[in-house]
Amino acid sequence: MDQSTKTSRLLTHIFIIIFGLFMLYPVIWMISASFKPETLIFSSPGLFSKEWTIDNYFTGWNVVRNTTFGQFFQNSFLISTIAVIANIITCSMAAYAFARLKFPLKKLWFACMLMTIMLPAHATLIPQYTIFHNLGWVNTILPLTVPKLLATDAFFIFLMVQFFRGIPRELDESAIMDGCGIFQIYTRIIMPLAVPVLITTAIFTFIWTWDDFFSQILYLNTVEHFTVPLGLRLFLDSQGESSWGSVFAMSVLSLIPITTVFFIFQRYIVDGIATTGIKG
Amino acid sequence: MKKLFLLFILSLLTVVVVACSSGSDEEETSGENNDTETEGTEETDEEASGEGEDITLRVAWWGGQERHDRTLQVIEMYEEQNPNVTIEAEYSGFDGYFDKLNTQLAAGNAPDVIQFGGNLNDFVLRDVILPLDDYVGNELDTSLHSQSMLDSATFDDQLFGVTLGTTAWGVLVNKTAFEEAGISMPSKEWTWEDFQDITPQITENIDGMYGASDFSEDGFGVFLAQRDKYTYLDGEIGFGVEDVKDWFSLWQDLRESGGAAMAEVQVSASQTPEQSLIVQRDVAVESIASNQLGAYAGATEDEFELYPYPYNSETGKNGVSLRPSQYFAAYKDTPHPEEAAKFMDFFVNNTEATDVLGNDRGAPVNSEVRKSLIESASELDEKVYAYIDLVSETSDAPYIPNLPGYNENTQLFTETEQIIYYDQKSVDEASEDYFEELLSNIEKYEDEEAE
Repeated sequence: MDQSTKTSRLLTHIFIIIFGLFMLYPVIWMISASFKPETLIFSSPGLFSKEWTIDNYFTGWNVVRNTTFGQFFQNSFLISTIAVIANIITCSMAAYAFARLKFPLKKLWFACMLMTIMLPAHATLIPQYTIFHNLGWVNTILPLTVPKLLATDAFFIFLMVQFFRGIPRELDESAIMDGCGIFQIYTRIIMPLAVPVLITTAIFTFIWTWDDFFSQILYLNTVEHFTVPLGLRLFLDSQGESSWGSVFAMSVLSLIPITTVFFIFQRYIVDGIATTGIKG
Repeated sequence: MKKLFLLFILSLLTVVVVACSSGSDEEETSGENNDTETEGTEETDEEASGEGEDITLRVAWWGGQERHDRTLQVIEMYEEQNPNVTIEAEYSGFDGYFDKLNTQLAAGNAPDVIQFGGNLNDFVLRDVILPLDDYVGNELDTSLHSQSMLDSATFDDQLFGVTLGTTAWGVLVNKTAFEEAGISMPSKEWTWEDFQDITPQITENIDGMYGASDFSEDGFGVFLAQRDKYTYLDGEIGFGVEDVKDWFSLWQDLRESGGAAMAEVQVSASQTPEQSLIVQRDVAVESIASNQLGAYAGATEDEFELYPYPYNSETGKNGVSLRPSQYFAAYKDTPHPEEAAKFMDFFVNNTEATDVLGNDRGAPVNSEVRKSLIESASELDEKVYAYIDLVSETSDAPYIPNLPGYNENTQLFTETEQIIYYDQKSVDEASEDYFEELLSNIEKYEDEEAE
């Protein structure tokens, strides 16, 4: 009996490991390709190569004249960090209002907010571009960051509203008894209890901003403002010569921040679920 | 219904509110990054166009790392020679380039000089491109440009673009594979009969490698030119259904004799040079545009040779003509049309500039420049220039622009090929269906244009 559970457990593990490697194969292939000389990447597409080189990392890092990939990382970090902080603060404020406060036409505004999720981005693209152009903001990071200060990511507001509604109102009431005002309830009661949803927001904002390509290419014209996704595409020309080695090398580097962020913060999501479970 | 309408109004309202509120927030946040402002300066010198005044010229192109480096170097040279001009380079990869351009055009914020591909005509139709005729002979010298390239950028008797490079269809042959197979390299004046004779030997002698990959629609155009026919010119189709049948059965026979890749291999072919069948060693012969030689050769350790298309033994014609690769054109509302024309002139006519640019966008369009370049060219580029020279001297066919409704018709051609690969229809039947659908596609497109 004992023996058979052992073997079945062993089999399960072997299966999971093989399946995991299978899922990871594209990433492993990319890492291996990033160390191959350009001539071998596609002509011998296996994982192993007869020659290894680190040159791709150097040529990739010095993308074009006077610009290194470090500049792109810096720009991406700046935009992503502002977006994360802005989203956490403003979306939670908006969500707090929708979840707890009473104000006229609340349901209507809530519906409007939801509608912005459903509105396809392409419908607002050109008017938005025109507005930012008239403000003189094109080719700066403002169009990519300022809207985040105004809680425009309705998806996160919605997410937080749902979470805040789950926090018992009795806590608010006892806070009022202790002399808290509306703002203090927000900072002292709601925010500390909402850490899991804030972390979720932070992770997704970071990943989405980091990976965002279209709005970045739209608003950033010159290369010194470019971000990582734009930088990666500088190597690629579907009709001409592409530097695949550099693309893979820089892609590997660009995965590092995003995986780090995910692994660091992922703990807190799990933590959060556990603690709220006990309280509920 | 009423509710729906209310919702609609509300959604409009939110957009407006969001838009306005971001406006009022400007002062609060602009401190973060106001050193990067460039738009403001540009609008102030809108009236300035003469010498001496400071001018900012926005130049946009797409490309890979190599092209960016070379183009930026030329821009630096231009700025050195014209200290009053600052060039703002807006470059990116191909992804998103035209999406961005379309948005910029809609908002009236397009760059002054823009790189286009074969789609220049679409933008000319939309009336967003500046006609260059006023500047030809003054700022812009086109006297040494080959006539067929000027024609390719001329619409309604007006010149709209400067050709940045010329290419021609050619046949890439893997020399290493031929050696491995123990076959001697064919003569450069080979015929389709030689082709049918040689390609099966590759398939026979090398495991897992086929003779040639399907030359597809591009090859069909050359094939027609060899018969003194053409796809489409001045509102007329220049070939018949029997030409289509001949072309498809030529390749059907090649597949049967082992000269061409089997269907499964052929359909796995990818457009990018690095992932093409010839680089993957699935085939030893492939049809390419001459400016891509570098990209193909750089992706493998095998040695490649560029061949002319096989000749038609009956007419003795080769059928290959020069083709434009990309253009520079100016935005219709550019505040500095003269400067834009001057920059374009420098880009294609100045030998120092073209020395730097090399073959990246194809061989130079200016014949003098091309001659001077050959002397300093790398071995690979030399092959390309020599080929372009050969084509421009011996070319027995006119330049034929893309079919109207290009994307749709290319799709149709590929579908027809696949129907034949998998024996869903006979060659005759598939060719007739193709021809019929092509005619109706073109008719549809002509109607649109007439409106």
